Amino acid sequence: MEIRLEKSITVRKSKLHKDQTTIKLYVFSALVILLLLIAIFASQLVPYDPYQQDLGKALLAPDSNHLLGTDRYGRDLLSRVIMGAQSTIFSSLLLVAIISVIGTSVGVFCGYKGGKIDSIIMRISDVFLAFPGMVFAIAVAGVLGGGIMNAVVALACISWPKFARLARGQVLSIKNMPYISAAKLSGSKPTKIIFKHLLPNIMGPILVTATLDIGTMMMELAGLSFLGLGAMPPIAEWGSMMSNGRSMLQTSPWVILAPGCAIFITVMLFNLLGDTVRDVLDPKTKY
Amino acid sequence: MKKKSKVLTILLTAVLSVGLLSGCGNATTSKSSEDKVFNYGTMAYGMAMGGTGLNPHDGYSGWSTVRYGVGETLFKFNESMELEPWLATGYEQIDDYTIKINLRDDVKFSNGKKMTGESVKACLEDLVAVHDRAPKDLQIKSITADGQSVTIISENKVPGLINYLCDPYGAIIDMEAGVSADNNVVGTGPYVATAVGDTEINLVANKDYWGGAPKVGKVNIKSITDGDTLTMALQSGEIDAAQGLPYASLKLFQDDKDYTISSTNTSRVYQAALNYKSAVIQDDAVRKAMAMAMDKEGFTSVLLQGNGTPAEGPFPSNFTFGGDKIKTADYDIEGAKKVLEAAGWVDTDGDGIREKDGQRLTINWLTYTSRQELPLLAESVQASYKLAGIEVIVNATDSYKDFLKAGNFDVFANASVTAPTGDPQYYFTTQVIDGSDYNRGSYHNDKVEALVGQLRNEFDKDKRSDLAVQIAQQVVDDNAYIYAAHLKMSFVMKKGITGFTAHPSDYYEITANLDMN
Amino acid sequence: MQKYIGKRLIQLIPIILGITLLSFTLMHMATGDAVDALYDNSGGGATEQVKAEKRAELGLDQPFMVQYTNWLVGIATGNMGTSYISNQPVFETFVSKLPATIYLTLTSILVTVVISIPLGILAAVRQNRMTDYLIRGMSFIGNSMPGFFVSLLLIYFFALKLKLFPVMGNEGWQSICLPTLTLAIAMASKYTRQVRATVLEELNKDYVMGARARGVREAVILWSSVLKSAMLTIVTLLALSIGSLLGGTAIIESIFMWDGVGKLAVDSIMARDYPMIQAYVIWMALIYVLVNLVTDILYHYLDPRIRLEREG
Repeated sequence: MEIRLEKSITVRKSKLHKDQTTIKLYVFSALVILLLLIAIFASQLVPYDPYQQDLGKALLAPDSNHLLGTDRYGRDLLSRVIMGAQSTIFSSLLLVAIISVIGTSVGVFCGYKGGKIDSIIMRISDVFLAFPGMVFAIAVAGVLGGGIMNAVVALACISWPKFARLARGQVLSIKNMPYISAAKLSGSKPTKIIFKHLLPNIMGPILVTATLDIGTMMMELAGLSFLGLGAMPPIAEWGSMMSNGRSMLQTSPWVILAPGCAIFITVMLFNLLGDTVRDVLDPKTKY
Repeated sequence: MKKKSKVLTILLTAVLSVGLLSGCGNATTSKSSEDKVFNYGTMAYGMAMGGTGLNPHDGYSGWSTVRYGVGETLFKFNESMELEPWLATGYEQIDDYTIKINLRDDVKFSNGKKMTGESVKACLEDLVAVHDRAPKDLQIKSITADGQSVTIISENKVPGLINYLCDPYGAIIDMEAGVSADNNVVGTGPYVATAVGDTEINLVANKDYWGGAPKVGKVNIKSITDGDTLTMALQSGEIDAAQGLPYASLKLFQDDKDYTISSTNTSRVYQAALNYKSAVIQDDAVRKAMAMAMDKEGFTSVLLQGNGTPAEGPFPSNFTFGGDKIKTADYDIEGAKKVLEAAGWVDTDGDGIREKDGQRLTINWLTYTSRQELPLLAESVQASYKLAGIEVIVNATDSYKDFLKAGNFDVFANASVTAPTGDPQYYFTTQVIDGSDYNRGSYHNDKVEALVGQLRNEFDKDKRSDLAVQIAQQVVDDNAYIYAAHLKMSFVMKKGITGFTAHPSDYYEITANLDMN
Repeated sequence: MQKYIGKRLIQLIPIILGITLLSFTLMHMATGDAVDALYDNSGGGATEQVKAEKRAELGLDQPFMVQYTNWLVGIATGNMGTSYISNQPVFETFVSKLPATIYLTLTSILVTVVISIPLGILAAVRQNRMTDYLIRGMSFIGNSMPGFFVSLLLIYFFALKLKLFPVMGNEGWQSICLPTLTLAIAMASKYTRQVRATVLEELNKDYVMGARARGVREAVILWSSVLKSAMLTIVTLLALSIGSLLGGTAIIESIFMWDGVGKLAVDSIMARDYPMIQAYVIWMALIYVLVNLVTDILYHYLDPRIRLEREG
């Protein structure tokens, strides 16, 4: 009798957790979608023109006209923050998309093929992994010029090996599983095996890593802005807005705090989403 | 795990208490000069500035030698950028190629040796033997020394020879003592370097200085390349004075009674060179409108927070041939619009940008970011030009040379020191005449060529001044260059520090006048 | 074991060759060389002729492959060249800046581990209770702000307002606190979550349930078995972090004027000081290979099931 009671309590608890996690998934996904919508429709949402200067109104504290105040050129900060969502979020998403797709493809290929090609490609990725990221980014900027796209390229070149390693490791661990051998034996073509059997099973960790990396990449891009390698004027982008607003922390703090909060909220959201996705995909960690 | 957190808490508390205790200040009573230590934070020294060490015969290191009171030149500039004797007492122009310089009799190097004509000769000979720029500036054929004087014979006529000797590479050092392994030298100045690194220089007073013993015993020059760190270091008292503060930080000290600010106009000008090779720039109306549409007042008063002066020509008002001796157009958007309309630039499609013959009025504005003011200028211009119907695309990059080489720009905006030696010729011969290295816009004007030719051979100071004004006015009338502002350089220091003032030449910082109370 | 280590160390050579060739190429593709940087930063005004002579003096006018080969030959004979900017020998300058970076690396790792392991375990054990949410919340916060912003806030509050630490510099142990904190906050956030996840995973394994059923005390289970398995994760994380920390966190070092190799690297790149950049790149390659080697060996000792050869 007691055993049955305990079991039902355990089952109910686990069902509760499962529900909680699902709710969290919906909530965070909705918030992220909201964020993306804001970014997409930024130009419609801005109360003022984010690029219009008015030197007479520079560095005003937040008030009813300018909810977040103005920057040193007199531009409305709220508008710039909303506008900044576009370049900041999309460049980070683009970056993560590039490295995850390229990295995963390379990793799956190497893991599946094995042999000499595997060694060579892994050795090449070693070189990129060993290469100091900052040096590479600055060098690339020196070659291609400044601008946010070039920063994305630079960071992409450095960061793809991580996904390659991850994907390869995953492939190696399931390569010799019975169902894969079965598929091979039944004569399935390699591409079919990869797409139908391998990929779905390794997607989990890759998806989680990718989502969590969005925040990291946003930080890295902001770091590059600090070194002068980010968005060109007058583009509104949170990282460069923060970097340019640093010296005004003590005199006009809103200039750096507004984009700072925006980055903070965005990164938090993506991280929370990533964590929830991980919880959903991996039943064991729910308990 | 509880144990671990306990240990952690104890550790943290210990750390914090020790930190607090050591923070309890040092009570200061009146100090003798021995005890006075001056900590000076500057952006201008260090690897990023391209050169460390104190050897004046090495590149630009001489600037550090003279700035930090280790070395002195034969002549120096006063606040109006006029020549004054320093280690020398005067000079005589014997003929167009020969000049005799008389030296002070009471100067000793910091190692006790007397400075004589022979020591100056040895120093200058080494300078022209190893330095990159000096030989071409000075064009020395031979030097002879006689007691406390030297006579220099030049290859060609060099009217600005004495001015060039004021360049920090002319600092007089003891060649017998030479240059140490860490790039330290023996000079005649009020301070001696005891340690020279690439982020810090430690100096002690030279008690036998010919101008009287310095009042501050120790000076530490600290290289701080981050503007916010520099600001907060000054606020926390870790440094007593700062050079190179970001504009936004100056506000923090301006109204604060605990700090003093010393500012001066320098001859560093923010200028826009218009590219005559570009079709849209060749249109006179476009250039004129661009000159009228630049909001110099807004740039200096708002963006630079008052730390600049709107410029008319290449030289600021400290110079007799600068400031408002040159006449330029006022900021006038309506006027600019009229000029463009009259030339056929009309906004046909209502997007705010004018067109003519199907071509959009778009300006490619090339600049770089290492000078914080240039991106500010670019953004300001972008907005004000738009009001007149001109579209500006900004390309701010450290790789600007590529674009310059490819001719891929309409305007190149940079910061130039236009009269480093107080003499106007340098600017014109390097940036304005045909084929000069820095004439980025390929500007050419026959009248200017002729006037500069005259300048090269004119020894009379007033006539030189006059010629300089004429040349600059022609350049401005042609709208070949638009001069935005002159840099105002500031030192911020704690109240009680005296004898530390900003100088328009940017050469002199630590002097024997420095005192702390 | 010896042979294994030897084999791994030999791999250094192709990696170093690859990496230095790559960086050399990149630097040469970047516009402006050391001479440009040298003269343009100091107010301009050097004629092209002067620059050309300086280039010849430094050997910058020779073709790319010639310059690279010269440098390689120099390395082979143990001479890393002299800096274009300071004329000091590269090796000495580089080595003189290493201690600062190593010092900062050690303190950051120490503080990170000291914070994240206890907190991660605590969060796992008290899963989904208040403590867990609190700890996870803090770790999210630590991860969501760019480093330069965190350092700005820390300096403002702790150095300026509370006067507990100096703003910058190299004197005394106080100077290292703020840079360490900045780095530790970002790293501890990541580590805490990893530790928590790993411990959770371990706690759900069968052997734990078995031990509980046998009546073994919770604390003993934690310390003896779970921690050991968690070590694998920690070691992996440490390996990744140490690598990048020893490369010098350029931004942190620049802000705090911490005289380490990260700041040296950024300054050298800006100044196009090729010999110095190459030295830095070699250092990174060295760390990378060594850290991976040590990690793999540690793996082997922590879990003998893991073989020493490359995976697969």
